[in-house]
Amino acid sequence: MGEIVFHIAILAALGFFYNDTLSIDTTRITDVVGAAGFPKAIIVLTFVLTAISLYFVFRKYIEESHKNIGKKLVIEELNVQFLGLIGSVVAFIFVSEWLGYFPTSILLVFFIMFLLGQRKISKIFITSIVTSVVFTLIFGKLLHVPLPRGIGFIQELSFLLY
Amino acid sequence: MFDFSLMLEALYVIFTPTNLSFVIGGMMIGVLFGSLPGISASMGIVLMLPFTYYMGIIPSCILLVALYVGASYGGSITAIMFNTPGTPEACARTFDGYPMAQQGKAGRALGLAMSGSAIGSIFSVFAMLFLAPFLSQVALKIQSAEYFALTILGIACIASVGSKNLIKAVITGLIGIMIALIGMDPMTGVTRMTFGSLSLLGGVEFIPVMIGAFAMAEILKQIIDRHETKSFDGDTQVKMETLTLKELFIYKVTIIKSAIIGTLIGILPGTGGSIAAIVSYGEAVRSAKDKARFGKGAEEGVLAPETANNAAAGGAMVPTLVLGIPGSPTTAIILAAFVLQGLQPGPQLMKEQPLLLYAIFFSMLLASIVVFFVARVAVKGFAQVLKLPYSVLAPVIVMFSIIGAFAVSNDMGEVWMMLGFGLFGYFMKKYDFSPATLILGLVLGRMMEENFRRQLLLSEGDYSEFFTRPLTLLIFGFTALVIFSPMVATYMKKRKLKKTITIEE
Repeated sequence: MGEIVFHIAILAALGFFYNDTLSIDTTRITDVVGAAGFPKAIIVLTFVLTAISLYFVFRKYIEESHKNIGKKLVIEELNVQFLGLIGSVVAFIFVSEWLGYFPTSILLVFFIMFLLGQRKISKIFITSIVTSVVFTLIFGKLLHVPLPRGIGFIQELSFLLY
Repeated sequence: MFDFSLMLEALYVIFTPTNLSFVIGGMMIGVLFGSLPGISASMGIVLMLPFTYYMGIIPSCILLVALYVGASYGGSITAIMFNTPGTPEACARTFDGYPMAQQGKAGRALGLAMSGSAIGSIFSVFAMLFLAPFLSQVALKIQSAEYFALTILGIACIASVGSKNLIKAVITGLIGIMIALIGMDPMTGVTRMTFGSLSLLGGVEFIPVMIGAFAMAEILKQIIDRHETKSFDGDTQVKMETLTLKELFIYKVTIIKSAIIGTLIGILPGTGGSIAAIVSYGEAVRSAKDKARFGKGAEEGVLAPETANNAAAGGAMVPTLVLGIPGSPTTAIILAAFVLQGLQPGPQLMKEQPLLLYAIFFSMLLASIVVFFVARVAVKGFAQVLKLPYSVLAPVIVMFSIIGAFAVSNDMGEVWMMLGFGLFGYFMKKYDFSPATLILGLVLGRMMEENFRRQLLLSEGDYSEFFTRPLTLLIFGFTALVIFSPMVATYMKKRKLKKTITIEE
């Protein structure tokens, strides 16, 4: 069932993109294909192939449906670790703007290790600090990547490190 | 043809202690830069530029080209160990390199990559040394039609990359092309499929998409796989076996073919190592007797793209030095660095600065040899990382993914992009779509469209130009070979089997 939903999502996204190609300005003519020609052709071709693939998937689903009678529908992605990992990256994006890269990365590593079943607090603590220090120094200090510094006094402190 | 006294002088210059330390140091810095996702060889060279201001012309050129050689190899480290390709060139190395690492053969995979990269570089340096003027003249004859044919050849490799389900592989390849077309139209400058977002005007960055579709997707997959068994804390078995020279000899045909493909593609201005790596991987699959091994940890699958990528890196130096036309984004920066030093790469360089040219050739050669020997020892150290429990490894990979995506344009929007493609990549893997072909389309899409339309513009809308130019026909012929030879081989095999059964009956 999930595969069917995935195919439909692809088809919907393709429709969305195709709709946008209709508004491409084609008044500036340079070549016979034009600005919209290539994207439209690619989208139509992808749509047709995805529809064919959906047909095969649907046929397979119907053929195998009798095997699934009485079975409970399980969505394996609905587990704490899977959703927790995605949530932690989302939280990182938002929180790092406020807390800065270094403290947020410590929290992120700490959280993911705990999420994946690591229960030795000392190990989690050391790993999260060492990882964050190494990443901050390599990318922030050595390679001059402008890592988020946070706000207020955290921003001031960040200048001491990177 | 060759001035041997100049060659000897160049060797003498390189083997001075200072220059020798620049070769080794540059190579090692290059490996470090290449191995960090989001930090490319170009960025490494840019960061080293200020240090070269105060050096002489020859030492600075030696340092930069050694860094360039090291970075070409470095990309394979994270690609093989964490499934995190830091550059589009490294993408093809994940196809079989990561499965090998998962099977506990990380040391061997890295050894293969290192050997392939060294041999590819050495081959291209010799090609550069002996054929530079001739090859650069051939490269000048290449037009848009040939470039378009070349992208079609690259796309044809979908057949070899997406062997699990061809139709799904083609779908993801086309989605990749569609994503590559987002942004400003290169011919007219109008916006396309940006949905009003200003950050998409310049197009979609490859690296966050790649990191998402490979590294993030892999972590999500591992979480689902390990969730049932709760095996997040178990050590991964890593065999420390590396590669002997004797074992490497078995793959001589793959190595030679990949080195030739890499050098030839690298010479073409604007192509770079990604196409070379993909085409040579496709050729390795096509010519293999047992194609089913590919994608599951075939050694040729690591060796072929790695050799071709590094051969392309050397090949790209030919038009850069001889014509003043950079063969890849990285060589464009090297070109800029040379100009900063007061040099003018181009046809005059060979006449005016022959010593410098030989010094560059030999420093690349030496850096490649150093990679071959030094990295053999370093491989064991790199592979040890995989012995860490997954609960430690996963957060490190997540950090690499986040910072690798962010560092591309210092924008959190790229981290969103990485996460989005991480989820998309996870479901692609789950339902047998191919993340590799997505990247293939992404890398080749824009180049394909640009050259197709440019050729039509040149021929005033005449499509026959694509089928009348000899070189284009040759590339199309090879494309047909890539697509149809597996089908013909399967047909012949079935026929032979049928015949045998009939005779037995």
